[in-house]
Amino acid sequence: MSLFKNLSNGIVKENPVFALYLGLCSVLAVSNSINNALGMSVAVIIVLTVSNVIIAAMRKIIPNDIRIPVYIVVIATLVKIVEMLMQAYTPELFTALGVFIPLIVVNCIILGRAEAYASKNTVGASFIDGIGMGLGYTAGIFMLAAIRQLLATGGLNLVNPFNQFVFFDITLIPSEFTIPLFAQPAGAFITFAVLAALLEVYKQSGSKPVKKGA
Amino acid sequence: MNHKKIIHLTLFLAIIASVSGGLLSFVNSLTAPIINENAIAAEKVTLKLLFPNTDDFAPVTDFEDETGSILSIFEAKGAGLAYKVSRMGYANPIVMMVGISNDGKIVGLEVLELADTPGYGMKVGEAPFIDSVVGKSTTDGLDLISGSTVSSTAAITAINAARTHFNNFKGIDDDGSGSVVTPPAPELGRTILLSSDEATSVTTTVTNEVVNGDEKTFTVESNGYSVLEGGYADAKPNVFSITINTVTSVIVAIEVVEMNDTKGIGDKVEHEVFLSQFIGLELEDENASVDIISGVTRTSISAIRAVMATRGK
Repeated sequence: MSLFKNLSNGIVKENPVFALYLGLCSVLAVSNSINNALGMSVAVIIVLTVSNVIIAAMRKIIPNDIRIPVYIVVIATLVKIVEMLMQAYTPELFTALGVFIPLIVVNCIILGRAEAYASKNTVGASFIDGIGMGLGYTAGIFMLAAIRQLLATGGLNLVNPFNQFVFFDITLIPSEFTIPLFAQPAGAFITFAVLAALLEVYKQSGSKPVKKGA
Repeated sequence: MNHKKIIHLTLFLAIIASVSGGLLSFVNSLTAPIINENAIAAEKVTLKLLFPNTDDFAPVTDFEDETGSILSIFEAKGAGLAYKVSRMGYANPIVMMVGISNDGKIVGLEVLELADTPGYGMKVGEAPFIDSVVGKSTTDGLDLISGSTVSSTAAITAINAARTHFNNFKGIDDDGSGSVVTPPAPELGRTILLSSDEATSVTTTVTNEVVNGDEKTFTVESNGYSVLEGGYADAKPNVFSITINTVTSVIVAIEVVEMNDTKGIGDKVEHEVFLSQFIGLELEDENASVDIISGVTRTSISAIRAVMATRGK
């Protein structure tokens, strides 16, 4: 598998969010603004990539009987480190994401990739897989967040979590036409369903039609 | 599974866990000072107001609080402890910072959030209340504010949560006398003649009469503040039970059966100070009068109207 194909695999064809339906808890919960979505994505990419690399490096010495506990210890340690760093350096983002940072531990994407990919592949390939899957997660949560924030608040804004520098803050829809439902969990489910359906249409348009009764 | 394998698995997991533990404590040692700094930065201005002579503050992260009122605790090194406490007031949560010095005195009370009724609950943030709290020890009793029972009870409950923690923390013995708060007697205001128009307007219904010899006990519904003011969902009249001597038309007893006006304000008419004025009054006496409770006019008058409804029956 070429490097690019490996990367794009995680973003489109095996997109963890829309194709594999993994890690939905945090996707639905923190996709209320692109700021939170990107913060969450960075945390997930770091944990996913580093855990993939560590587990791939140790794949030959980890005894098969206790591989899951070992993965959990590695992932939990990484999440805790990321959590402490975020609390220290990006306190606003830490407060906004709240409990969903520690919940990265049980994000199925990470344990899933450790078990399905990193434990069978080289360090380099696992690194690329981590980045690809992480970007797939980012793409999913970002799309969801952009649509929800735009419809619910009428605008988009992005702030540097380290120094609160405002990159941009634009209003596109006048406040009379916003739909507050999209800030609610129900809005997250509706947006998610529509996006997942669209991706499915896109994937099937490129492949051969499925035989009836097959 | 043989012994060798079990030892191998155990050792492997132990090594992984200790490496993780070491890594975590290393990162923690790097980030903990910054996290503490962040926590203090948000409250620094208030902390300096409570302990102006100290610059060295550290958050206390591990504390027990059964009441759930304490949000955070900060230690002012060498000076005392500062508690950020919150309690639901009459309409909105009251958030305060209480400073207690190491010798067990409340050195400061800063009200951070308060949005209760102006003139009533807002008194929690005013000088008389704050001055009555500051300077008290951690075992002294605190006084409620007349007219804002709900808000001041919330504030005192929150302050007491801080004091309880402080006492446990410092090993101070609290005999419990300080935590008992007694509602103050309501203040009486204007005097109203029982025969005046104000007292006899017809907004009352006698719903029950019980004859017992010369005495007759009436149950009377009388519209109070909530009905007269309008706009309240499920507004109901107040219900009184009034006993009259039918021969002399003297009031023998009066009781509040049901109070449907504002809690903490309307229910002051249940106080002995107000109700005892009625006993012994003669219904037909043109000059019979009672003092109504200041700040509780509508509800007080509903009691008087209920009494007057029994006249001539």
